[in-house]
Amino acid sequence: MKFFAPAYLWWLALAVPIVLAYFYRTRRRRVVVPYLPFWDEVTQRTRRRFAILKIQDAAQLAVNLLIVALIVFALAEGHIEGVTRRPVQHWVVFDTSASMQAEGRRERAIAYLEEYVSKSVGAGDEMMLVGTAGWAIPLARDVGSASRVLRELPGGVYPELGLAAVLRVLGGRGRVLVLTDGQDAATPPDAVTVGQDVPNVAFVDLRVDSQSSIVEATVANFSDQERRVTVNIQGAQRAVTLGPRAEEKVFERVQPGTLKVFLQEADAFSLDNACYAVVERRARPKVAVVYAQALNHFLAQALRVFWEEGVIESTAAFQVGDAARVPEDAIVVYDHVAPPREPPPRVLVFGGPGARVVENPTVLTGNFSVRVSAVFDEGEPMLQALEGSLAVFRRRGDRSRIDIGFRLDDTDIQLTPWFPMLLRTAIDRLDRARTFPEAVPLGRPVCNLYPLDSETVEVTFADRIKLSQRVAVREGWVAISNHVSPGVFQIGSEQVTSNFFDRDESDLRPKVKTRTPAPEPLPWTAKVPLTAWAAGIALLLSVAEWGIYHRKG
Amino acid sequence: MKLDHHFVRTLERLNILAKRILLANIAGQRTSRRKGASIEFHDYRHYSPGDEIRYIDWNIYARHSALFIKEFAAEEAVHVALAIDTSLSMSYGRPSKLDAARLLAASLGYIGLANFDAVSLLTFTDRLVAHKTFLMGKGRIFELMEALERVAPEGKTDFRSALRLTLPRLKGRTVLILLTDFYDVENYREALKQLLAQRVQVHAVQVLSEEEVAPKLDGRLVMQDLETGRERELYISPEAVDLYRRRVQGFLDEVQRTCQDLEIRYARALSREPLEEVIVRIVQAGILEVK
Repeated sequence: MKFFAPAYLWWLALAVPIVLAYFYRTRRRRVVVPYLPFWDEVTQRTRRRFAILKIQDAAQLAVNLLIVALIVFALAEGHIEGVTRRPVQHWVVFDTSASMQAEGRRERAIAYLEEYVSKSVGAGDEMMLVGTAGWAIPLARDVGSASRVLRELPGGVYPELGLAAVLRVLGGRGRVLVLTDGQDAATPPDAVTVGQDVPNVAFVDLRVDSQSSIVEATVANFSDQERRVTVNIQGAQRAVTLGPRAEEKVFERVQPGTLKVFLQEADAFSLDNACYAVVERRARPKVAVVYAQALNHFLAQALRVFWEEGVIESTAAFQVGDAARVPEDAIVVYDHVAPPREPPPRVLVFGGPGARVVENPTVLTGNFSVRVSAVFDEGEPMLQALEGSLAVFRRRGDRSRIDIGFRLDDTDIQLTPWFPMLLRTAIDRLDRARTFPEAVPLGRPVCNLYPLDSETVEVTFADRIKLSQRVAVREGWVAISNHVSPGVFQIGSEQVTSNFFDRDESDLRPKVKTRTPAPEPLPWTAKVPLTAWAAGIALLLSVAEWGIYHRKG
Repeated sequence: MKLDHHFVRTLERLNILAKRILLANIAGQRTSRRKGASIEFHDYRHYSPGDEIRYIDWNIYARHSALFIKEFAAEEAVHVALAIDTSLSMSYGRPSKLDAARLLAASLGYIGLANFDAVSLLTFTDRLVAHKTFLMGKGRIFELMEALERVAPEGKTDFRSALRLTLPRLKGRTVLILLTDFYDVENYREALKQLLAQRVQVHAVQVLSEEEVAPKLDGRLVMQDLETGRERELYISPEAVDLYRRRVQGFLDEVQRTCQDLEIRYARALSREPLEEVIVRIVQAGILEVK
């Protein structure tokens, strides 16, 4: 027998006070009595009990000593050759690079992990799941919970620390099991590779000509078979036939605003099946204000600032009698004036009491429709400002619309402190300069499109990954590193999208070897937790001893 | 061993009850049925030749011309023998039963001496030993107390052999006061009968300690008998203590009943009790009487 923690053997000294207590308790006290025969008579009945008591005392001493021995055995980690082994630390290194998002790879990794846990992980062992992105999650020793953690890992691409760096950190610590698809050059020879040949088609480039608003999307086939795919660019579907390992370019004229290009019938590596861009507007809008009696001072002041900032090209104000002179291409702001029966396409109405006044909340109508998107549900806020939702998607029958507006009282709109911001958002929206979500071109650093007033912003990434961080705003602009998850994320009240997948990662080459045998499973005897048994028996004996000897009544 | 001054005054008002046992030839304070030379008039009788002329009542002769002799009652003393059990069992208790018996004997002795009784101090275990005999007069109390202090516990009680051979002078003319714990359970009755057969008036004071009447013992004990030295390992449970108390009480009742049957005045004394209370109880038992 060996002890992994022999220092605890000193605790055997606990037996000394127990033995002393036993002798003290069972010591014979000598007393003299004037007439012993009386005592002889009355103790006839208790003599048998006295004999039992002696046996009980001896048994109690034995039990107490046994409890001490078991506790010391458990603390000192008693080890019997051939029955137990020392607890081991298992490090399960999971490749979190983009290519592991390919269909089937995670499932195979989970299957292998389950096999490994059932065969090699014993009582007392510790297991840690380490991502090549650098995070680590402790795993329970049972098969179900270990595989559940791996299964529920959020998708997407993590900023990679790299397999080599992770293995360097773990060097010499317990047993390391690497679950990877083998894309990384640092893949060790004994790693379990779960990669397989994926017939992958992906966008490898997306360019937008701001002058002509023409998008050039390059789609590539990484497999050895010919592939037919459909490219969806702002609703336009283009069928493309790709030869083995060939590239094709798709051109499309698009509207200013956010652009999402994606493959319909996504393939096994869905991560690179979509990309995003922003089509910048070609010209700044004109804004005309139609007012009733006097031009609202705050409205005029806000428009003037926008003009000075270059947000709008020009502003003009008309009394209600001169409404016919309003230019057709301008965004018209009706300030407490009812719009005509057939309003121009881009109208902003500030509500107020009176005939034909738009009901509260004031509605901005652009006479446009949007396709029903999976991104937004009906009634869901699309743009969230500090004071509440600014843009809400609504649908009535086949028609859908986005309402932009805010609640106005019939007076004192100037007292609304965020009025200029809302006005600008509305103008941008009517000019289609800002759609929802906003986007940045492929491969560029994410930044907000407009200078921010605050010094720091809270960034919450999409995919419901709770990765919040504070980002410094310098001169009104915020820059975030490339290592962010693809998809929509939020900077303060602004929603932007990005796609930063690694072009090399999307190039999923066929893998010849899909699995390398892992380290030999540890012997089954690892599952005999002698220390746990010893502690458990000690506890049971303690309870029994208390029940027999100390429980009153 | 000291007797309190006030307590002594109290004792002087008491007298040891002696029923028709008066010690002839020794003048005392007790009025005898016999005629004597005291100043207490007893009766008249006709003159007989040989009577002392000085006792003729000449007034009667003047009236009736007949000679009558005046008779006076005799004042005699009682022999009070204090017999203390000095076996080892009497050394039990705090204070010991023997200490209590010593004090009690001194008190009873003083009562006897104060009443001009002859007081003897005897001790017994398996034999009877006379330490002081026929002390008379209050002045002899110190002698008595000195003798009491020299009494030491030893041996085992054996009533039969101890009381079988009483001093010949005690026979028929002694009030014997036994101060004992009666721990000779088998034989004490026979011994008492034996004493009574010798026409000795016996009073009994059973001296006990609180520790033996209501012991506070528990657990495993090695008990040693004080008298025999015999040892036994016993487990004393609360139940056993209760049984023991009942057994002791039964024994005390039995001794009391035996004394009643034999017309022996019986009293009980606890060693820790104040002496005054014990004396009161002895008075109540009829061993002492108030003068």
